[in-house]
Amino acid sequence: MDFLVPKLSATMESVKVLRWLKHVGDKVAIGEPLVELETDKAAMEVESPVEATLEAVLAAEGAELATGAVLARLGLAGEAELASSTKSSPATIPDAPASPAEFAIAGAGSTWAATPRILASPFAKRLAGMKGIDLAALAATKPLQRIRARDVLAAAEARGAKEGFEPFSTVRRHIAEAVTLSRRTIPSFVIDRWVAATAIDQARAAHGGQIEKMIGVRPTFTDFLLLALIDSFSKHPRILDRWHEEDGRVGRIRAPNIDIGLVVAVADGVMIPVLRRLAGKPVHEIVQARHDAVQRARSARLLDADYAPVSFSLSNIGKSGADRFEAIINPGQSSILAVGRQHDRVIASSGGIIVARGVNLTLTVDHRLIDGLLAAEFVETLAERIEHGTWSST
Amino acid sequence: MTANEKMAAAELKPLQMAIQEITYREAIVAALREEMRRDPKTLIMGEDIGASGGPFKTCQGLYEEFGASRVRDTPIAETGFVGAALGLALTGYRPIVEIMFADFLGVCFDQIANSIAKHRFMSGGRVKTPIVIRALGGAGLRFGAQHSQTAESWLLSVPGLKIICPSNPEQAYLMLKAAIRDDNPVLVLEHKALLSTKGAAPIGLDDVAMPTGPRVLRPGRHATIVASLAMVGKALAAADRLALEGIEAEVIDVQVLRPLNVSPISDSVRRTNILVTVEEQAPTGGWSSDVVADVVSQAFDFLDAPPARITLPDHPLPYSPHLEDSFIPSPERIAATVKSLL
Repeated sequence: MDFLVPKLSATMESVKVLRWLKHVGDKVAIGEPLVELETDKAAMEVESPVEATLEAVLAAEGAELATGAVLARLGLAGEAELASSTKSSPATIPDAPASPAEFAIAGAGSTWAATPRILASPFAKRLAGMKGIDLAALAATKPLQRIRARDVLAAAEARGAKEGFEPFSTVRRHIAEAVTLSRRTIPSFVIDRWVAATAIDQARAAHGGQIEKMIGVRPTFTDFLLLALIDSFSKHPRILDRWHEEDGRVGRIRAPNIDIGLVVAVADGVMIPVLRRLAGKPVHEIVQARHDAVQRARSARLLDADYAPVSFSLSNIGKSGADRFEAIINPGQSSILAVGRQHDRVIASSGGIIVARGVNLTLTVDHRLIDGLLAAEFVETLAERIEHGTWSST
Repeated sequence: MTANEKMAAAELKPLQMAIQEITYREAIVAALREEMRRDPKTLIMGEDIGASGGPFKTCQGLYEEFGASRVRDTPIAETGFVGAALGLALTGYRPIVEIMFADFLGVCFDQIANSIAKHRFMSGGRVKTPIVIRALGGAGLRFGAQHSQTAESWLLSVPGLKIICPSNPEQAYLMLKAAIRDDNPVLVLEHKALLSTKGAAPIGLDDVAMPTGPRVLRPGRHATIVASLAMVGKALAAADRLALEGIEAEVIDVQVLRPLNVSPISDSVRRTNILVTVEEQAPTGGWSSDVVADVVSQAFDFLDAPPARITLPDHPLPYSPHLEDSFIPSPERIAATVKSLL
């Protein structure tokens, strides 16, 4: 069977093959990582969908492929004998290197030839690392048909000429493309509400230790926000509808589960790991799921599931500077909640004034799907849940 | 001043150092003469080295000065007289043997590889083996396949031996003197095609020491060329050609094959990022393979091109003059190889 480039995110159009984790002839089990791909969001390992033998690698490391393109050929356990008895020619690569000589230099005698990579001299690689030059952007030069030190130096000089210019990393570039696409194609509006966080603080104090004892992870403010969101989505499931366009028809896709994307800041960008099937989950499982998601993002090892469609993301600024901010909807999603830092506010309460600690909830929604009334009702429900709902440790 | 007159002058003032323009051959004779004067336990053996002064005149005048007991003509039997050298060394002498053609090292290979190189170790260090084996090798003089080999690689893998290969009169003089004073067996590979080349040498210098590694003969920043024996001159000529095009090649004489110290070459490659070796031997198993391997290990991140080895073809040397000349790496070929890597 053909092993294709999976659609790993809503905005993904192409991937780069970073590294094959198996060699031709290797057996792979279901779910065993087969190849490492770089998407618009992160580097990730893609697992084998079947138990099989890797018969041929059809995409070289470094190659850019569109969604649906063939990555490799897998021989299913049952058809292996059949295939080997009828097949006369060995596995071939469609994109053979331009000249045999070039390949001979790269590594004659290599048993798996499917690895034409960026050919650069060791010194060129060293200089590129020192000067922050992306070798993928340079062309191999004659007479050695590879990137040399002088090419890197020329690139560094050319870059230096545009005073202070620094090219984007792949992740940064994709973020830039995603937010531009969002602003251009998603007509959104913003509503917000300040909520007192006293109840959450009390719940954290009351149950935090017990949950930590159970799973070894201490609950955060975000975990209780997630719980409140899950309850609120149950009451207003239409908030999770997603825009869909197909064959000239437009409409909505109703989300079958409550899934929440969690915006995690990483070096030079953000990642959005997704917490799945949250309805009805006990607190400690939410805490664990949130903890795992953050770990995945920080180690840049997102799973397939993190790239599957999701309707909503939560962006919690934590302790950093701003009381309130508006987030941009990730293309493919329909809303995002931005949570500012906790701060004290003087509020009117029962005819008097009190000082209370709380946060701003700022919801950006896709107006094509959601009108103001629904959004306001949802925010009202969420605020009520946060301020007056009850929290348990289970 | 003729060579003999120069030596006569040296005879009068043996420890008076003077920079003299002499040939490689005269440098060898001067070193032998001075060391034989210095130590009466020193003697030399070889084929036709007595009254005739040696087939290549590298022992000229020694028989007259030191007599038949210290300058001994031997039968054509390398196993015998190389073996005798070991016996002499074990009984307190400091023997030197001359192998007329380095190709004949094959005849006495067992004496060198299995006896001379191992005796000091196998005696637990109780005996010294101060033996110098001089062998004249090299192509370019129409001697054919059996009399033109440098034999550089033959004994490269024998622990217990030192192997040196002087490429100019100064080195021939200084390194041979140091070899004779060394208490360990030293194989001195000399090159026939260099015998009449001239150069300045500090004749009379008493303070000599065995070099510990390669020597930079010409500095440069664009490429490193490493060569031995007659190939050093070709490399220097290649560097001259490259300089006309603004390419500065660093030329390094490997000069000590065993123990091979590649670190200075790696240091050079860290500056130039390009390595070319030139060796007058068939491509397999020569010192340049080791140089490349060690440079790749020591300075991998500084290589900007695959190291290139220039060697003889993997073939016996032909007798036909045209073929022989085309076998030997030329300055043009070395320069072209460097340019192909820049």
